[in-house]
Amino acid sequence: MVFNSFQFLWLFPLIWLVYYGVQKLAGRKLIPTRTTNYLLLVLSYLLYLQFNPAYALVLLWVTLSTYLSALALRPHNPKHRKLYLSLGIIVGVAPLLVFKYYNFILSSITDAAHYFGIEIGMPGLNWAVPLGISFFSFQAIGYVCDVYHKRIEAETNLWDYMLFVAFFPQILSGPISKAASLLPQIKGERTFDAHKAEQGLKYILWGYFLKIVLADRIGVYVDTIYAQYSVQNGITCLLTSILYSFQIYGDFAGYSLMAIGTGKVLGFDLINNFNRPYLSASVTEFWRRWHISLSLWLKDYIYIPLGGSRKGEGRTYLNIIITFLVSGIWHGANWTFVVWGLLHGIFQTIEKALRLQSVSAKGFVRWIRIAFTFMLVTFAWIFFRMPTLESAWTVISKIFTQFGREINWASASINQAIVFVALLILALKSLVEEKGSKVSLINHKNIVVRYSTYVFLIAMILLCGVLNSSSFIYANF
Amino acid sequence: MKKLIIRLLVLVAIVVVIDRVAGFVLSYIAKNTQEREMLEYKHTCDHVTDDILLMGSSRCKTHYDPKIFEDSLGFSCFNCGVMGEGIITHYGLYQLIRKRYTPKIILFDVYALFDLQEETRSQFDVLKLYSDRKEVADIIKEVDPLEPNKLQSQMYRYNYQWIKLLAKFFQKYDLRDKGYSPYIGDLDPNKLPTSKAESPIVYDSLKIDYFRRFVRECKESGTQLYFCLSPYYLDVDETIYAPIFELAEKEGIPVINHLNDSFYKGRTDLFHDERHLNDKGAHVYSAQMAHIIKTQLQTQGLPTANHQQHN
Repeated sequence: MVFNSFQFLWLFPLIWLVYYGVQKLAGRKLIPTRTTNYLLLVLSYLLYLQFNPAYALVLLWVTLSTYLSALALRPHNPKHRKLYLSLGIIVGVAPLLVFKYYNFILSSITDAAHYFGIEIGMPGLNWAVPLGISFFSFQAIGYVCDVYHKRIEAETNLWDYMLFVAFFPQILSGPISKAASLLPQIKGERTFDAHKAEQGLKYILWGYFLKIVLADRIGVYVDTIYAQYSVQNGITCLLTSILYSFQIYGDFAGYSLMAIGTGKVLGFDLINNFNRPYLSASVTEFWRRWHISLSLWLKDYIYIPLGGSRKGEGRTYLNIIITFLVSGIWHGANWTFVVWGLLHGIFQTIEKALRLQSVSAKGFVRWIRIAFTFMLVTFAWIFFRMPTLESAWTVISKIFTQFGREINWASASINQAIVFVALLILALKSLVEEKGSKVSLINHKNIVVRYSTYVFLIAMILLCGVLNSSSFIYANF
Repeated sequence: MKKLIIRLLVLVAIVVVIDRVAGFVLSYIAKNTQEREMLEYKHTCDHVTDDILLMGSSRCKTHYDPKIFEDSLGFSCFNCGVMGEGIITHYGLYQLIRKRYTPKIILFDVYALFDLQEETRSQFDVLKLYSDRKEVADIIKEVDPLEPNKLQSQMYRYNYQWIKLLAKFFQKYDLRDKGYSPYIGDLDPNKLPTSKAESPIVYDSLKIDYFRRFVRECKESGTQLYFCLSPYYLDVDETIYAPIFELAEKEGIPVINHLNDSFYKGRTDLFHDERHLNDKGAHVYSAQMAHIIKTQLQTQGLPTANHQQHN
């Protein structure tokens, strides 16, 4: 179920009502408490099945393989723990490698061999990548690792574990939950929390605004310009790249908010995935504010197992580079993502070498650093957005060598006007929150202010949003 | 839960009221705006009675000057082209038109991107403004069964368009150009995209079905329909228009094909960009087309108004 679809608007209230009804009956002990979990599990699988029934088999594979590996890691079975861990990771991540990376690996090997005059003819796979596979695979493997490191007990209830992996608000594009955070909520008794549900609905509304008004309107311009990037001048490419930074933020943060909000309505607290990332004063800080759940996953399951910062400076820098190479590869099966990840690794390595993360800046200096960090991240996003290294390099070189004077607005001044207003709203909200102010229109104590805010956002969505259920960028991962 | 539901219902009620009020205001603006595209669009739907109608996307809008057709053929002519819209929208417009009268001739400029390709279905930006008409409502429902539900919202109906309508509300515009909206300026060959023109597409079976219906209804009502493939700066793989050629052959619809006309290739002075002629190119092309139509009509023994006067 895609959050920005019409289906979500009518189906989710129904789901909520049924879930609430079941929860009420369970609260009165008329039915077993576990019924709510069974309901969520059935719903999660049914919603996932509607994309492609075959995908559910992949989901089941990842779920069962990691469930069984974790059981094999229980303390009373100390022998071969590393073997079971390795098996669990390999078998759990195998579908991800096959579906997502087989063709990429094959074409890379073929291209490399061709470079040396060797021709390799191996068949590629023509299979679609199961939606959300990168997310639920990482979530499941994280669980196995946590059991191995004895951070949590292996889950013995298969149904609870299946729900942990397949939980529908987060399965498509995260957040990636830790078992220690989500499993207790699944296993615990949940009663209806009106305040939490209301907060969830507000998250969903703001998420809709970010996705449908901000991200998708920017996307109209960005797609037009980048479709003909070779004929644009540098200033247009620069503007488009900057706008893309906000597009991907609106798209992904919007989705995350909708997922978190949906979870809250159902009584779950999912990890907050974004914390005003473009107000970061360093790339290191950026990764504490952007896709937080992935950052934590990479830190806990890649960076720290590699040794983190415990094995000397040189090794620390290598570990950072490797961690962000993994991040890049996780995002997509293309060399552009590898370069994107590498750039972030290099930026952070330089920051660490120069001790920049430990230098806190205030006032004007902080703003300079924020602007500089934003530009570094924006340039890296060019590799993320463009389909090939060559096209990304073309865009970057145009910015520096063919700047020009006139911006190509693509004859869509209305679209750009909407983008400007949406960016202004985002900027004001972010700056107010960054200052630690408790002022929030959507949570204002005055009911008129609150309701006016709700109505304003809804009106913006209906009047200015792109309402054709456009896909989420991160849904491709 | 009860309190939350009540708060939600109150919010929904407020939104519905504001939606209706906004719809009333936006409807008034749409009816009285001087925004050019809206004026031309309303004229097409509600008032046009010209003998020759020119239909299609932006390539129709910018390639065909009605006055040249009028001068050459002696028939009145109006350019009903709509930017970015293909056969589904134009079929809807045709339904509204034929309720009032039967055009003598329709020239439909076919452009694969909007008329044949999947994934570029009409977003109903134009049609939804007339969604209260049954003919249009039926089309919208067929293309997207959920769209009628969305159209319950008046604000949604004017999504994106409202800014344009409001911005041009006080301007003055008349229809002296008869729907023709030329691009000015020559093509810069340094700004040509590197990708090939119109690469292989995935056909939209619904769009092709709408072409069949369009052809059938034109024939039934006695309108002479022509499929036109206007010039393109780059070379085009004409096989992507195979469904149009097949339909035309089966139904006896003349196809006037200038897609790869060598006269236009390399003529940067006649093009604005690789897909669109400029004003000069449009005049050249319109004159060429008018002559072809005139010759065809005379060959078929059908009178042009000039021919009648001559006799």
